Amino acid sequence: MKPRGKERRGRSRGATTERSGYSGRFSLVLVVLVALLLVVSARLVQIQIIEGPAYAAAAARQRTRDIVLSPERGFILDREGEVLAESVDARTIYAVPTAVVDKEATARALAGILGGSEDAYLEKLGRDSSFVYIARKVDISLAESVQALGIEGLGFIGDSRRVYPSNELACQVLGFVGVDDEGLSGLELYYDRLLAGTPGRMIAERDTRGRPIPGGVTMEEDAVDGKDLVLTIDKDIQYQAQVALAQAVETWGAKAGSVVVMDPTNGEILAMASVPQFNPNRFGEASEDAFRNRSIVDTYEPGSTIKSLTAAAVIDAEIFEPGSMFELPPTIEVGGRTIHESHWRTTVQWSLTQIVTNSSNVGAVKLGMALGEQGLYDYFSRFGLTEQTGVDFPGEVKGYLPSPDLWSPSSIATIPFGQGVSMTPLQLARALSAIANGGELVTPHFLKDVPEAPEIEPAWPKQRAISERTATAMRAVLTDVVNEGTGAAAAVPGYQVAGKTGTAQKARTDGQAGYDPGKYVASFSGFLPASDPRVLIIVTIDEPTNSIYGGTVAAPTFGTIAAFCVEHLKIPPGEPVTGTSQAQ
Amino acid sequence: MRKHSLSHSAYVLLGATCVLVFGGLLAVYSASSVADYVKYGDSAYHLKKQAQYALLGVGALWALSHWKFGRRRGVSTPRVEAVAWLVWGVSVVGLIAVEVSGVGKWGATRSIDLGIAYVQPSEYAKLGALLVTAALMVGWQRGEYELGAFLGRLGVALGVPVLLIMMQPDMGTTMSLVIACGIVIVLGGVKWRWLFLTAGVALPSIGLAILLAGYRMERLMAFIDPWADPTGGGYQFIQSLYAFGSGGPFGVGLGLSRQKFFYLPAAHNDFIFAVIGEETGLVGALGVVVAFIVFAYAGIRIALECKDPFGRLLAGGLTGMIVTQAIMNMAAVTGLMPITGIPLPLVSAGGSSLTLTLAAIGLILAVSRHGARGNVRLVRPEESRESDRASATQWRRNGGAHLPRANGRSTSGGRRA
Repeated sequence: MKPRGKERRGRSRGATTERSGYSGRFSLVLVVLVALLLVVSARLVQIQIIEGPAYAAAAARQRTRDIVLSPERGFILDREGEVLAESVDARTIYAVPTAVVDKEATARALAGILGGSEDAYLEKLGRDSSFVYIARKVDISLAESVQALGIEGLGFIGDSRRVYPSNELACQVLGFVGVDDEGLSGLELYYDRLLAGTPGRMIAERDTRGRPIPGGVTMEEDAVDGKDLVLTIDKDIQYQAQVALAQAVETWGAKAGSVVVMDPTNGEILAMASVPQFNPNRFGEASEDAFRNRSIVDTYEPGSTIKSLTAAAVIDAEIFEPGSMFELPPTIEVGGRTIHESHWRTTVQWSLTQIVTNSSNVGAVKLGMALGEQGLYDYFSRFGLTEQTGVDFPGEVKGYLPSPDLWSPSSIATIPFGQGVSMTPLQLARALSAIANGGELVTPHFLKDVPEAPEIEPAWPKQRAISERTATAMRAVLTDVVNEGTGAAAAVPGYQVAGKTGTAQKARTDGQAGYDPGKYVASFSGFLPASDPRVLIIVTIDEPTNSIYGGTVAAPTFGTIAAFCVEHLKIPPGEPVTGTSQAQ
Repeated sequence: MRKHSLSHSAYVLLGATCVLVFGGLLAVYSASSVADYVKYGDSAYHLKKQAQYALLGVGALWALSHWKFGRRRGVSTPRVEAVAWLVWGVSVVGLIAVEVSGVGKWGATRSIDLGIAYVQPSEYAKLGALLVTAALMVGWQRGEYELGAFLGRLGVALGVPVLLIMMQPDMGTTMSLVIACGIVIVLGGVKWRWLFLTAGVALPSIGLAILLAGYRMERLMAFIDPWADPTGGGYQFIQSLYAFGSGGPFGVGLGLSRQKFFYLPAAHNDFIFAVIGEETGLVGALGVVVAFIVFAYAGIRIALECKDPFGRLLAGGLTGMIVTQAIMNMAAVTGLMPITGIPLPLVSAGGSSLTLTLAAIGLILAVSRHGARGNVRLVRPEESRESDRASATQWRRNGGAHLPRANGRSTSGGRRA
């Protein structure tokens, strides 16, 4: 660019006169300024129109937070509305490690208030991360103590914590939840979908400090709280059952034990206890063995208890009557195997009822052989021994009853008195419920009601196993067991109790065939009042050491629980039931 | 045309100024309301301050537009140079006061607390240095100075404030001052080869200044590749791009900026252009650019309409100073050059910048009002249009920039070719 005033210069030291004024240079400056402003304009078009959408999307991503709104987990209540599991407000404490200035002092303060080791907190605070949980679901009061310290870099989130106010009560039934309130075991797991509710979502535009931008919320879906569950469990009966069971396990030096208390008319489980037990509020400290709800997930050989089912089968098949007489030698040989009685005796003439009340193995073999292999199998199937009970509980197992084509020649001799067959205590409870309620198998269950969701009407189907006549006859037989047989210790003053003792050997667990000497399962199964049963109780004591007999070990526990039930449920004594043995 | 009245160009200049000031008030209110509400509990905190400064600035504009710097018989009085040195001296005292007892933020000390307000003397130093440069140039043109005396005085006039401002440190204002005074020197008719020589010395020293101060290097690197450190050096720039991108062609709506929610730092001052771009889109951002184009055009025309050499240099230099500041700000905010911390004149929140810019516009208006007095008449509008066409033809013919001569003299330089 040549300055236009060039030819006029030179009048004085390179400067022109004021009159020329370098107008060209003014124009040049203007052109340069405008050109630069046009460059800015072009740049604006580039970043607002051409690249604009990409930047806009990135900006939206940067300010949009997707926040999960936690629903409150539903409570679990007993049949009278008492709280078994609840959700209480809590706080979760997190840290932004880079923002914590004095990590040592912070770790010391946290250990002081929350407990735990200083080093563990120090390790968390030392992580190269922008977010780390310090403690989840902490009591509000503790969290507020931490908050009061005003430590930079610590944050607090509203949360809720599962609390089991009665600690060990019904622990295996209720189960427990994980840190994210997800059901991990028991009914917490089985009914997780109902209890958990639906998490809400808030997609919100936030400023750099996480505060919402006014008018910036783009979507909000409320969390739907979980539904409360009302169980069939009766808290008081549950407590008595647990206390009585724990006492029996301790008294008899047993390894474990379980109790089922069920209403035989409809399958409602009033109590279910297992020992060892644990505190679901601190399940992390418990041994996994304590988590087993033994009535549902463990199978046992039933032993003599099953004789009541064998007897019911022959009566229902109209082969024998309770009064039918049998000549019973001291032993009997079937399929190359000699069956003994548990206590030696001479040859006797016993009625069917007496076979049951005296728990005669030889008698049971005779009954079973009268039915035949297929007949016995069919009847045991009708009693539900080949299927799960259908209980609303996770991880239910069923016992072992092979079909007759898999039987050995001696099976027909052992299965009728409870060897070579296994079942869960709940399967036994279901089978006996048919005798108690007039012949129908019920579906055992825990869920009584979901008050907030009346549309949920769980069906608990029933199916006929034996005739009403058979059931009535068997109740009389089983009443005699308690009145004058092996189950005398199960008696409840003022009530007629029907039941059957069981003393089963345990199969070896070392891989060899046969039974483990000295390892027994002692049980008592029964119901009352005998004329109109309202409560059915199965007591199973696993590996008692001080005594092995069901009548000694389990029957008294049955008696204790049964006595509490009739008092608590205000059950009238009912009509007397006369056993056939007395009638004759 | 009545004497002492404002020319057509002056009204255009005032119009552009009004658009920028009122638009700026809106933008400042929108950009600062959230942070103000959080910090001061008053969403209009910055708006009120800015409005007060605008009133103060308009007062200064009105008063200075009546300044009779002009001449009788085509000769500027020495009084002008004295006044220029007085303004310069006061601003230098202010700069020294900053060094002694300044108030700082973001690692730089730039303000002094006068009790009623914080003042940035560096803003006034730009005006002082520009006035002195213009006065010296006029004196030199008239042959009043020996070359040595001229260069010595020019060196003092520029060197002292540059040194003091660099000590704050404030690279942006230093650059702005040097560019504004450089425009005056260019307009004053210094031979091109001298100018190129000076630039040849100055540019490497600017490079050295960048290399010597780590944070300047950091800013330069952040400019070259902002995504290398998106949460550190590149953060401001990236957030600014997000704002412009969110705005799209028509903006998200007045007051509805999302980026102002603490994502965009200094949203109400240095980065206000980004908020305008987000809220009013390309349309609004281009509106600001167009306002400055109009401002530049009107300012240069006022300079050319003036018969007085000092007036011409003053109007041209002040227009150049204001518009180059605007370009530097907008270029930095849109990522065309490194961020230097220069506010957008008339628009950004900031009392010193706003009052000084309005005062400078007052001086340009004074040039328009008084500079055409005396024995030279103003060009008539029809002549102006005619010469506009002529100059447009010239421009096409010889590839040079050309504007109508305010005094109606022939464009002989062009015709020569």
